[in-house]
Amino acid sequence: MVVKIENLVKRYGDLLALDHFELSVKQGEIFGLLGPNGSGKTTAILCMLALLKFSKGSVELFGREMRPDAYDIKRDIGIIMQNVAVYEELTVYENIDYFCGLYVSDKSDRQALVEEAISFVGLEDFRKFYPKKLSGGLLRRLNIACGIAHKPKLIILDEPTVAVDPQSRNKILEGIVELNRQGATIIYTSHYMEEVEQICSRVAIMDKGKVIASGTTSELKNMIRTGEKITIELLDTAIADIAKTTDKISTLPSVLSTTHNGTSIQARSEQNRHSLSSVIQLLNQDSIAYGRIFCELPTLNDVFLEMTGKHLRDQQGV
Amino acid sequence: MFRHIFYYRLLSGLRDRQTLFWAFLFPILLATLFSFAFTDLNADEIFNQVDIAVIENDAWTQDQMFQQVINELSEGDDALFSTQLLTVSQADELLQDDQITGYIIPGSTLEIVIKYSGMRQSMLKVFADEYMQTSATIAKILQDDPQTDIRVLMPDTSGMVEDKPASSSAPDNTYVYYYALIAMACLYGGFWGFREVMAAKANLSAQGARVSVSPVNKLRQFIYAMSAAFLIHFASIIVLLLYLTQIIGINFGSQIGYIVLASFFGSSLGVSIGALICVVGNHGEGVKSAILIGFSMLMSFFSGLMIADIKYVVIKRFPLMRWINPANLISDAFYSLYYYDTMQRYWQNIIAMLVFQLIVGSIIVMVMRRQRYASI
Repeated sequence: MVVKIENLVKRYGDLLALDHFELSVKQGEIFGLLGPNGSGKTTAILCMLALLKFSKGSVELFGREMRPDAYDIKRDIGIIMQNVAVYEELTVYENIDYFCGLYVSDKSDRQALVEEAISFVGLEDFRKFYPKKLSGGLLRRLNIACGIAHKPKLIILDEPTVAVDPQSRNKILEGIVELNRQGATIIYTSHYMEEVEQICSRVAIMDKGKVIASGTTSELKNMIRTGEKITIELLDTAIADIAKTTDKISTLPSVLSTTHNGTSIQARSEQNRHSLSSVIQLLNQDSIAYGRIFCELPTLNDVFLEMTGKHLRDQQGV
Repeated sequence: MFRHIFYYRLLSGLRDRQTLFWAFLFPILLATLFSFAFTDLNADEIFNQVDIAVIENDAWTQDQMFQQVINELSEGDDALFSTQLLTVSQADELLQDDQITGYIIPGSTLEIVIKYSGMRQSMLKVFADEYMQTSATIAKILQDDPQTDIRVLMPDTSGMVEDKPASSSAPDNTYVYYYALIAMACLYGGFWGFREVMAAKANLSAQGARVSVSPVNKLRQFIYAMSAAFLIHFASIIVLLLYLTQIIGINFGSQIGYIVLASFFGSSLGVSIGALICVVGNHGEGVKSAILIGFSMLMSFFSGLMIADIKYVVIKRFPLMRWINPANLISDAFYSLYYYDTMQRYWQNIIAMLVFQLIVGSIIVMVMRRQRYASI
């Protein structure tokens, strides 16, 4: 195990930030830590890095107890926090060189590593730029370069794509996968489900300071009752009877629940059951005019919704 | 590792325009403004003889004592008056042409004729009043005892325009402002210390979090960074001293080594106090920054930055302030080098600064050594 956290309890006054938090991350994984803002993701990361005091529990990294003075362990860690951690007065190159230099003292080795990091995040044309001259996306890339230049074995990324344009986000996600391919174990925290689904081999879902479920994305989706989600867009002539139609669909044996928004109906099937053909059959049989029908597999948001009653995205900014 | 951290913190500091402005340029600008203000003030204070006339009437001819006093006050380089003996019409003419401040008409009382009111006219009036009072006293004594030696009773005019210095250096009260300005500049070095704490503590900045998880001892990193901060500030103070001595012409005495030593300890104390303010307490950056500015200005005010006499009033009423006000220790070290012939007071200030520095440094080290934070 690269990371083993057991029974971690952290309080901020009366607030229980981590409630007997447990986490295990194997070598070579991209591990996603998913949860709404305030769920305890960052607190867990800070405790893991021995920056925060905690009341109870243990943290082991690379099989050794993680302490503030565990410099051998720290040497193998790269950290990319959600707030950009660079110096405004240093250029792109100097920032990366400075942080890399805290790990690598040999100047020529460091030079090669810095160049590699610059090329990795695609900042070749911005070497001499000061951070304030960079766009939000480029700044995030610089933040990542500063955290990975020394080639750590464990890279912790705490919401690295917040407020980043789609182009830079894709570049960052591709980079993370590449780092993992090169041998680094990744812990990736986010409240963007698509990102986590896209890159993570295993995911833990956090809420109120504890892990409420963990596994691969398929395993997580299998843990819930909800299966596929069918959306039916009604034509104008059928909209008047939408409530009646919704009730009829809900009586179908494989349908778990239904809702409508005035123009379209959404039906959720039970796990591992397929309702699409029976829904279409019902609509045709009753001559209900519909436009498009589409079927989606459950997402991590559905998992989270069913487990906590909350939408992940809805928690942003809370 | 020292070289790496020192170099980059030095580079970063030298490019930090905001801190450079407050800790380096602002004191120089203030010194320039002081020099403009004090140049005019000193020009006003340069004493020129007061041009007067005495009406050459019978009373003048008969009053030997008055003649003697006027002659004494109108002779030599430090003469109070430049006196002409004229008729009333001549004196009136000169007065109308502003060639004399006023004229005296001798008689049973001294009559003063002036055109305007002002400092020079007041001097003439004060002289006349004092003379009248003294001559009346002498007349009374001679009436009672005609044998009295009149020379003993004659008014002593020697001290009217001359002050005796308390040391071999010429006293200049404007220097107190410049010394307080240096003290303020030293305390403004607190911005450098403040900056380094901000960059080092994980609970204060993202950069602090990043360096805290690096494999370098946190305290060691901080000390290396503080060394760079101190170097920038010490160099700034030396530049300020050069500006004050070479451009503005302030006298610090001739002991260069002692001046540099006082600057060294003053800079070090300033940087450390800034670090202390930043390191203690859980307030935000804005609040701590305001505390630093407020503290620096208040201590500088107490050391005479705005009103020179405040320094003495505060020390008289609260003698402990002499030792616990860092700005006073710094300014007084410079003042004692310039003013006193012995080094005792200088060394007292240096030792007090050293003790202050040790206390401040110990608190900083204790807090910075803290391994984990309660919250970030």
